[in-house]
Amino acid sequence: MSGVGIGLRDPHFDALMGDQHGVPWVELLADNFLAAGGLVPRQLERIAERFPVTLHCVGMNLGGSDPLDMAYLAAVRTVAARTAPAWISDHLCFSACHGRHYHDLLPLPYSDEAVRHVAARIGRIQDFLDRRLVVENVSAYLRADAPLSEAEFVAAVAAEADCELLLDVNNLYVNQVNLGLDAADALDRVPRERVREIHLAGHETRGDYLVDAHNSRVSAPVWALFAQAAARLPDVAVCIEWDNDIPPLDVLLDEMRHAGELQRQARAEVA
Amino acid sequence: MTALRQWQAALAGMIDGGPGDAVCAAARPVPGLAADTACAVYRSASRGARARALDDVYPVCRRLLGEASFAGLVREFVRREPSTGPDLNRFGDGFAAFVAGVVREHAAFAGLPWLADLVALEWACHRIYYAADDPPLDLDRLGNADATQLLPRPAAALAWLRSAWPVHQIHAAHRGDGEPPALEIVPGAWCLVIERVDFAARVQVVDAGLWALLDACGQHGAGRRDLADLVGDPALDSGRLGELVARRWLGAVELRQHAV
Repeated sequence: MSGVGIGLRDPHFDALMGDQHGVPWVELLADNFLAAGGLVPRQLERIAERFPVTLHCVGMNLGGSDPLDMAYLAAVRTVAARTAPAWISDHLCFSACHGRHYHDLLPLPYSDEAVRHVAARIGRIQDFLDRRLVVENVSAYLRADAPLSEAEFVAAVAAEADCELLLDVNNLYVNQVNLGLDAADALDRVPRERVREIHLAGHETRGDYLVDAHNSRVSAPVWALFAQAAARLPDVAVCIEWDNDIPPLDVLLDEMRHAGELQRQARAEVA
Repeated sequence: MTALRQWQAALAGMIDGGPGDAVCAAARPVPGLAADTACAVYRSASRGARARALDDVYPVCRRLLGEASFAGLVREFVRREPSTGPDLNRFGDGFAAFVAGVVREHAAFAGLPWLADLVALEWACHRIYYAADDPPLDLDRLGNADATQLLPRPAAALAWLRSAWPVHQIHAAHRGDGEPPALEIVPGAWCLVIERVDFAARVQVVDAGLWALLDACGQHGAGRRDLADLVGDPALDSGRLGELVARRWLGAVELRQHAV
């Protein structure tokens, strides 16, 4: 899997089933396809017949302290069996606590304790899914007072769990603005050999801080950061995410083409 | 409790409406984004995700009440009702009971005695859209099994409810985007079955006898009834079990598992 794909969302389903529009692959939000019957499994099969697929999840609760939800993981495994994804990803965060699910990507402390905890859970999930998991850095609005940097934390988890990484460039930028983290430094420190995918998305500005809203075009500073990422990771697959206020497909395709152009430039410079 | 668990409990408690003091105390101060503002972002995002899920499940209720009134109901429901699983499509089954309480307690809703039943109907339509497919019913497989060992069960993609109001008519009238037809809402007794046809929910009115038989087949847990019990119940018209099969409303007839 390489090149620039898009997150396939419901409003674009018919258009993309009718014409591939030059989209080389699509990322599916697995949580939208967990239904055991009815139309949803048929839609999955149609998508997988037309496009190479990756699966992106939001419900594994990788960093949580509740027991792993094996029914959820089994449902994800069923989706994977139907779509033969190139990889399956989820987020380096927690999303549930004491049996309550928050449907948000809640930040973990960048601590050694959290590294060991989340790596062990990723290991169990990898065993269950019988594949390496791809784990994404998240945007955050709070940072627990803990000793590691974000880059150190991500790298340590990846090493201890022997998982792969999804580098969300927009999240790096959001965290730079919100938390004062150094996005360029994070790019330098990321273990490149583990990065399977890059995410790009739009954010929303609210006064002095940014919200990872996935509701707009990729911003200029994030494109600039992506150019740096592409120079370091020129052959890594890139996905454009757009989840809210979803625009006409042409807008998404325009973002996809721009990312592809930046990636080509990066490859040319590397060569 | 470890530092990791303390952090998670503090953040979760804050989102649930508790004070953010513990989160703020454990967070590293950053310029430009105060910890209490950050807490509000997380609280809003989590509750917003659940609220948007309900927007999608209850379009008719939303249209009938208007955006502001529906949003107010949802906001209060989301504040009270946690989500207990990762699949957001399963969040909201308690909304009908919540709305019933609101209708009972608040004079502003007194003119909508059918509202909770309408919400239950919308939930049924939503649930069966995502329900599992049953394999074809194979009665031959049961052979000569004793009727006390046979447990009929309705199809997974089937729901049934009773209402003293014509909620199926209200639902049909307000489902589309156009101007709804005039509807006289008078009380009565309706037995409804919601089935999945061509991947979409279809609501039917059935007679009370057929509905009662279906309902008896659909009891759970200790109330689950075997075929002998159903056939022997004089209150049920068990001769119509074949009709349930013909309509594909029975998803399976399972063999009782003996406890060892």
